[in-house]
Amino acid sequence: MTGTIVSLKPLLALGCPLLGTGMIFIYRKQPNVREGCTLAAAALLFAIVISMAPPILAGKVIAFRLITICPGLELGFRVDAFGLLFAITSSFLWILVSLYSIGYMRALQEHAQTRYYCMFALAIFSAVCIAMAENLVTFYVFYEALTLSTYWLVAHHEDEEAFAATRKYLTYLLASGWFLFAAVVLTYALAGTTRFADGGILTTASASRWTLIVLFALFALGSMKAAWMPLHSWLPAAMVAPTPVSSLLHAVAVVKAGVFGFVRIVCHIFGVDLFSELGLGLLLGWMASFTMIVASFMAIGQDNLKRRLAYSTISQLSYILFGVALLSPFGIKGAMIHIPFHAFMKITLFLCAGAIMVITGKKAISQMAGIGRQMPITMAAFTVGAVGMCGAPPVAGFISKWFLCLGSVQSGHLIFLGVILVSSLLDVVYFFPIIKTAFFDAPQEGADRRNGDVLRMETRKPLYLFMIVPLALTALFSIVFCFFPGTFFILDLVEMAVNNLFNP
Amino acid sequence: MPYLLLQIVGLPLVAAVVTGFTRNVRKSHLPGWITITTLVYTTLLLGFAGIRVCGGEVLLEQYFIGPEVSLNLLADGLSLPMALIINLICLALAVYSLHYVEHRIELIYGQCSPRVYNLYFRRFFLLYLFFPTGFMGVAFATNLLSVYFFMELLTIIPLYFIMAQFGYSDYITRYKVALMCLFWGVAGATFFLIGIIMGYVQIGSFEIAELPRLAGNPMTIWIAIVILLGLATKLAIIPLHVWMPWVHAEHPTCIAGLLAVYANIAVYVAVRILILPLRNDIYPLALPMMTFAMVTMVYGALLTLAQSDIKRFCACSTISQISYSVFGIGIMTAWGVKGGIFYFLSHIIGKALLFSTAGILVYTVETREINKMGGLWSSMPLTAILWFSAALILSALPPTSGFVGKWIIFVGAFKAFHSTPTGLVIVIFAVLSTILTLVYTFLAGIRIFFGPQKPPRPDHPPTDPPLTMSLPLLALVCVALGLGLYPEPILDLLGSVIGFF
Repeated sequence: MTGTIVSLKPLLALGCPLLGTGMIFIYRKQPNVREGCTLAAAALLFAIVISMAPPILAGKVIAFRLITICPGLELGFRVDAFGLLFAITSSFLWILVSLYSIGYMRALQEHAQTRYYCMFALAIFSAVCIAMAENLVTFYVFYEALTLSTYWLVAHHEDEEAFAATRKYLTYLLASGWFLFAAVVLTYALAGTTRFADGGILTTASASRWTLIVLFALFALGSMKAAWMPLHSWLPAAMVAPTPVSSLLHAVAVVKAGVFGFVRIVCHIFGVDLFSELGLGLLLGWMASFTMIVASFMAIGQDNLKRRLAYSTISQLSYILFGVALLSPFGIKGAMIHIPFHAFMKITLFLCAGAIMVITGKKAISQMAGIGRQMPITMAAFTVGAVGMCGAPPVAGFISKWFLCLGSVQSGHLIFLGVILVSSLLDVVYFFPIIKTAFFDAPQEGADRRNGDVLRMETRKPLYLFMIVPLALTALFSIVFCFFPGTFFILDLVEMAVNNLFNP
Repeated sequence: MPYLLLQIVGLPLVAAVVTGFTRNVRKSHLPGWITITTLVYTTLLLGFAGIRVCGGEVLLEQYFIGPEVSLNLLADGLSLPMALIINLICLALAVYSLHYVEHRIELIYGQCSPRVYNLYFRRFFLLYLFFPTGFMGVAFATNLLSVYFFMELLTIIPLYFIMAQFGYSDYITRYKVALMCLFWGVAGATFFLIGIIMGYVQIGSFEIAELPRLAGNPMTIWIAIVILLGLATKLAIIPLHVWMPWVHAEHPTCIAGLLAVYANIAVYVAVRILILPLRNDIYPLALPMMTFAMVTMVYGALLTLAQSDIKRFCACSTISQISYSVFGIGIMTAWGVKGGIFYFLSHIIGKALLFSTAGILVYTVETREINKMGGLWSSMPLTAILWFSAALILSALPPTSGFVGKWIIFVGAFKAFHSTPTGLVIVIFAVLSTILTLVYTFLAGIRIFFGPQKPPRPDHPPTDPPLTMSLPLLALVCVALGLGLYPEPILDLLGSVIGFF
């Protein structure tokens, strides 16, 4: 039933951002051409990635083996439904964020923009490589590449604060990379292969129960990119980066690579059966529940908007881990579908935060009284994102939460149903005060209001449109996904992936 | 071709004699060029031998010397790749030395007359040529006594004399350190000699081929322990590592890379005379060896982090890096031993690069203190590239040869020890400790090449070195990349000897 198509398409797709990086560097003296290269590479990448969807939905797998270095060390790409889901998400959002970057970086007159665009393209390249990785070795190599390419983006401002943040960033993520390496080696030693397979590649026969549990611990420590608590503190620190970076990399590429890896490890390395047999599902479930609740509480206390969003990200990432931990078809479906849906909603929120910062210069929530009247489109988009985060209709978050709830019922652990409901209640607690401050509090007399008239800020400069249009689009998509979850084949791909998992 | 291996081992000695007779009125690089020509020729011979060995042949040349002693030379899949890589490094460093020795002589002996200059220049290359002879001898020897002989040759002639004459500190300290190195070297070799004589008492032969007869003998484990003690002195395993930082710091930097080879080649000797013939008897030593190696890895790396002298920095890194190989061979399975030897090759390439780049820095910036360097990226980009390539190789990141070596070692370790809790813990610790290499190499690199500019003489900013110094190093980078992307030929060769257990 499942056939493998050997095709150059994955390589072509990966060529776009890589070639893009080179072109960006070549045209470093002409900013308009340079940004044109970024956009062209992004659009081309998305076109190639989405064109892989029909054959995959027909039950095929697209594969290309690049190089076999020695036994076990293989670099290869293999696109299946789940990988494609991640690739579609990151490549589509790259287009929008590139547009947004133009407005953001030029409005702030940032330095070293060429380095910024180059490293951005390399980070996307690594993320797409991770999505298409055929085996753990390829996954590991590009996982590290992702860390190193985003290093430059976090360090962008090159001031004391940025360097302090990058130190933390590297310490956590490089250390985690080494745990991952240990886990990859151990997997190969136990299973004799590291290729992802639908039923998992480990069995109870491959090693003793304790060895497998140690292996899972190594994998978990290797997935610090998923920002599970208490190993999350690099993520809020990394918020010193320019906002497009925070939005795409720390809501989509980097952290999603972490949870993507986690799902891959649970579903395609351990396999659902072995994982539940070892009792690790419950462990992971509690780990995720802890993070969901505690991160939400920590978000309540943040006044800096980007930091509050960062804690919200930590909490939401654990929804995905949570869904996988349930080990039931609905739970995994919810986890997988939350990857693109959360990406679209969270990126909306971050883009809004960035737009507010650029246009009004405000970073703290307490300063934002009445900002909804100054920037109606932005705050409307923000509201859409926030409603989605809480899992309320008519935004995409509702669908993923619905699946997660069904999943917890299906798994038989009703306590988890309670956890997810409490957590989304907490989401309301920390998101709605922002909306209330923005729309219902009166703006301060002076800079924001003159003679009782609120100043409209959003359309003051044409450059601002580069920011407003992408964030409006992502908000729009968040709503569209709620009514048509099949847009960009998302629902179909998820169903396909879960189907393969449970009926291999 | 007749006497293929004998030529490879003996020609450098002949060339050394020839260099001794060169005379020139003006300052001359002739001895250096003789050395380089000889090494190019022997490298070609090794390549030729390599093709034959790849074809499944085992080259054995027999030269009878006296009772119990022979100078038989054996090139098989284990010794040949190693000899080839070592010879390449010798060649690269000989080219590198041309310029460096000139600078050393001027620094030590001042603006001397051409006669004195030529004297020292000649003397350096005369002594240098003992390195390839010693290494090739250790690699190809089939007799324990000749292994011992070549190891001693390496300790006494090049190490002692070169250090005493071309070292860094003042006259007295230089000789002191040289003597210390000699003592440690001889002490190690003596343990080795005691071990092989104990073996001789049991089986009545010094031939390596006869060693399997020791199998099952209750004395074997003790013989192995004594020999390993001797080798551990060379390998600078804790607590026998004391000499390493001193010796490396004292050496002229152009041959410090060869010191890493000198220390690390003991891994090969251990594989050849203990693990291959007597694996089942000495298997109880596996876990202790791995533990010692693991501790040395961590300790060496922490020691490196604490250094601010760039040469001691490299030396301490050697202590840590050699232990990766020891860890590999300590596993005593085909994967582990293969990985240990492969990592040995990768390490010596990386360390030759790191040391020589440090030498470039010492040569151009004229200080050894890392703290006095900074922001050199803009004026010395090529040097920075070399440093970071060495850092990549040593920290075993893809796509360099180090990654392949590390992968094979640790796959082997996990395969062998995943079911015993102690073993599993030791292996996991060892894997995790490899991150320390990344930390120290890159931290030092960032301190040297980035940040605020700190040239000691602002009026005279340092520049990249002449091409004779950088080109051979770039060639070594290419070799390491080649081994990292296409290690199959070497792994196959190693497998043809090691693969049987």
